[in-house]
Amino acid sequence: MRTEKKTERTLRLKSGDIFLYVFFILLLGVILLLQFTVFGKSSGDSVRISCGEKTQAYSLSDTRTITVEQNGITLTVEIADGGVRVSHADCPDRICERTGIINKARQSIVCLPAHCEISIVGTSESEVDGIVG
Amino acid sequence: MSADNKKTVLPRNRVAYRVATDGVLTALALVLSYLESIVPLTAWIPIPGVKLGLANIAVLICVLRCGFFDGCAVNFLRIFIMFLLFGNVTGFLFSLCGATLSMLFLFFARKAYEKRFSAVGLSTGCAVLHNFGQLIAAALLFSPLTALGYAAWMVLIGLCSGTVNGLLVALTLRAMKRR
Repeated sequence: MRTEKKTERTLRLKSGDIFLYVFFILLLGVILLLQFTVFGKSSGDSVRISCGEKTQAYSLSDTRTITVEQNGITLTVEIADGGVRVSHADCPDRICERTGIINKARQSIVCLPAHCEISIVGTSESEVDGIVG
Repeated sequence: MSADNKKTVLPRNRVAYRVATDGVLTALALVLSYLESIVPLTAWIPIPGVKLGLANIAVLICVLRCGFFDGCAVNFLRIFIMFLLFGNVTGFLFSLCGATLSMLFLFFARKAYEKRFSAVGLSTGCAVLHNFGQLIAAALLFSPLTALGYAAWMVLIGLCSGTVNGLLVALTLRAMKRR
């Protein structure tokens, strides 16, 4: 009986916990709002590949394959049908490969081991991008 | 409850006991770190750096049982040894940023443990702030805008993983107390 009472107390949320949760959920809301105001308005028309210090830009409407080398890691970037993807990466985790195709402004593929970021940039007005949340 | 807790906190003078406990918990944290590195969580959620943060269990238990500085030692030793073992410079920097922020949170929040915070709250706060530290690292390494793009995910993931880990910590502490 006693232990059961104790159990209940150990796992019960305290006032500070609830405050923390509410705070973080509010924070989430603020971030989402910020994302919509910053990213929401533009659709992309060019691809920016920045690896370390170097940055290259390509048109999104082209069809081409680009090979980038950085930190001893080779990334194969494919631009086709208005979208970009990393078709092959020889880094250990290959998260960038799994991210798949991105085709909206401010979406990006990040490869941490290679210090590379592939993102879509542009200024033209279009639909809200749906990556958030 | 709080009196109970004071009894379980190890006395300061038992240095050998503390060193041994810290060592065991560091080893545990390392194993948990390794364990989560072989679980391919990023295969389902393709966001760089998504982790369960299981090592936080060992760190939080250490902070609550042995004291704040022991917890710091466990956490930073774990990060340093992981770096030595696997040589992942980027991961090292990200972890360091995250750990600093989450330990800062623990430094202030641990005083309110039992009174205001349960283990779940502490763990969640740690997890979200750890992810925030990583976002700061990402903002420095890439651009602030890239970090902002991931921020919502990071907070959400921190909330989930922190809650799960917190429950595990609460259950572990309860089991330790019972003995």
